[in-house]
Amino acid sequence: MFDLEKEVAAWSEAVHAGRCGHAGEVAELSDHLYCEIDRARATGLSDEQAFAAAVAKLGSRPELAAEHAKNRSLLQAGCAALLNGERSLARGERRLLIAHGLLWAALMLVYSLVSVKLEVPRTSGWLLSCVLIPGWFASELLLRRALRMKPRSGG
Amino acid sequence: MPLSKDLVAASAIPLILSILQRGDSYGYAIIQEVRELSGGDMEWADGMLYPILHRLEKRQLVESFWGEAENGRKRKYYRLRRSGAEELTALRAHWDKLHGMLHRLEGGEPCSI
Repeated sequence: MFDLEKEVAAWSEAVHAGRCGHAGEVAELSDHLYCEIDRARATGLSDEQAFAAAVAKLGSRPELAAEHAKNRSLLQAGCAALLNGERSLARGERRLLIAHGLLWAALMLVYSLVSVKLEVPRTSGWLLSCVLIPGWFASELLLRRALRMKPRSGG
Repeated sequence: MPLSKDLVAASAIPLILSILQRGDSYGYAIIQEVRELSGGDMEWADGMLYPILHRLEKRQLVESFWGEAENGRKRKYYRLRRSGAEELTALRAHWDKLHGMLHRLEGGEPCSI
């Protein structure tokens, strides 16, 4: 059975997908959809037909999303890129990236513990910030690039 | 005769600011008013209005506040700010100037601006 509230919420959310702090925009878009749905229902359309008509009048979702994206601040754009990047990954790939991150975290932790034990704190801080952390970012980038180049199964 | 896409885009901001100068309003009502004013010749893709409103808010030409619709739903209203009214005055002058130029080129009475 067609659940109007669920459909309106899902559609409005999808337009702002990947945007941080967008609850106000989603509520505004939902209100617009309901106004248009009310108008369409008054002409005798069913909930489902009225929803389809209202959505068609709002414009295509990618166009709308692109238009909203123009208003994003640098921070919001970065946040969206991160979220969308994660969404485009398959489950196995996400797990691989998490494992990769954990491996580097463990490596840094072990290194810190060993360097404290051996009492070489002066060089350990330098090595941690100049070698291990950039190394982590570099290997993460390489891994992501390799995942992007990997042929996808099932289209 | 439906207006071209470029003209619709160029006139969006002065129209929105003009509507808000007449009183606080919200997205859906603004679109209906434009549609009515143009006699159906100006068709906005409804959803395109909101990013424009948000940009105007960012530029501090309008301000928004949440209210309640007649049916109890949460609704976002927009209000023209003083800087928005000043911007509207400037935009109107530009459009008047353009109108005057076209009128003169058409061979009508020179328009003093």
